[in-house]
Amino acid sequence: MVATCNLKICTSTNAGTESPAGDATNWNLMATDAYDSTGTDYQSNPIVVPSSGTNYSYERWMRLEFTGTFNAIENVKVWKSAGTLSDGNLALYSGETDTGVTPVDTDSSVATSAIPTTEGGATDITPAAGIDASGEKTDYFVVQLDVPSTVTTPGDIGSQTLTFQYDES
Amino acid sequence: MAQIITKQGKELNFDGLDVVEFNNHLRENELKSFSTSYYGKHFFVDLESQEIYIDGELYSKVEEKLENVRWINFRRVKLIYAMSGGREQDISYGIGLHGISNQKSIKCGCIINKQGELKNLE
Repeated sequence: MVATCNLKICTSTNAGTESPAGDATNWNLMATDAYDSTGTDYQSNPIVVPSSGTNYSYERWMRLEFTGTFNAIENVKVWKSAGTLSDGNLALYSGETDTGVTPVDTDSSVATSAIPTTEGGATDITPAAGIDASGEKTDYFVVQLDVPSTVTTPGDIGSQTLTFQYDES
Repeated sequence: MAQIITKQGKELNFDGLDVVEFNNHLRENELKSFSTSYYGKHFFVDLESQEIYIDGELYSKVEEKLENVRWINFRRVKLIYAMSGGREQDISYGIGLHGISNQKSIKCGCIINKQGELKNLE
């Protein structure tokens, strides 16, 4: 008996379209509200460095879905466990919510804190009602990339890694 | 090795069970103690004395006796997703007990990772 956990990327109205059918293979940040189903779509949807002010990626809404046989999933946490942004002026912000909202490419009202980078500072996305049945999901974890005009290193932002952690009993 | 000793003194053996399946048996019985093994170490949790032993040696005990004591036995899963693709998995196990002391929830026990390293439950 082992729970199956799949990462879902949530897009469109009220973040109500969850992709893919199984486990997401990436959480690439793009200038379009879509899951990067090919793993290379991000190359044609870059967040351009503006001449002034700040451009924003579309918010990346994601959550975990648990299926299979288990009694309870508890203490679901997430943090950025590895990765350095390619330019010191780039910034990743994140936040948590239990309510789906349509992703935006303006300054997020959900992803408002610097993304946590330690297990001790991880964001708890355990839903208030708990997870004790197949098909139940966590709260949303929302990430957004801020690209200000001061960025001088265009191109890939560098590999970033998220760690999701949960206790299964 | 996975074993339950009930409050009635009955020994129940459940070798080879997954943690979730073993938990089902823990739930079904009034426990005096239980024991199990993860990553080569043997854990014995005595709910009556509220002591935890690892490989026969006392690992931890509560300072003050807890009320409403319950067992802890879980699998901790880390799923590591690279932004541009790739998923890795890491599993550790948590074993111990928890209860109430001075109206606070107290946990006692440890988490063992696959390298056999231990850290206290928080």
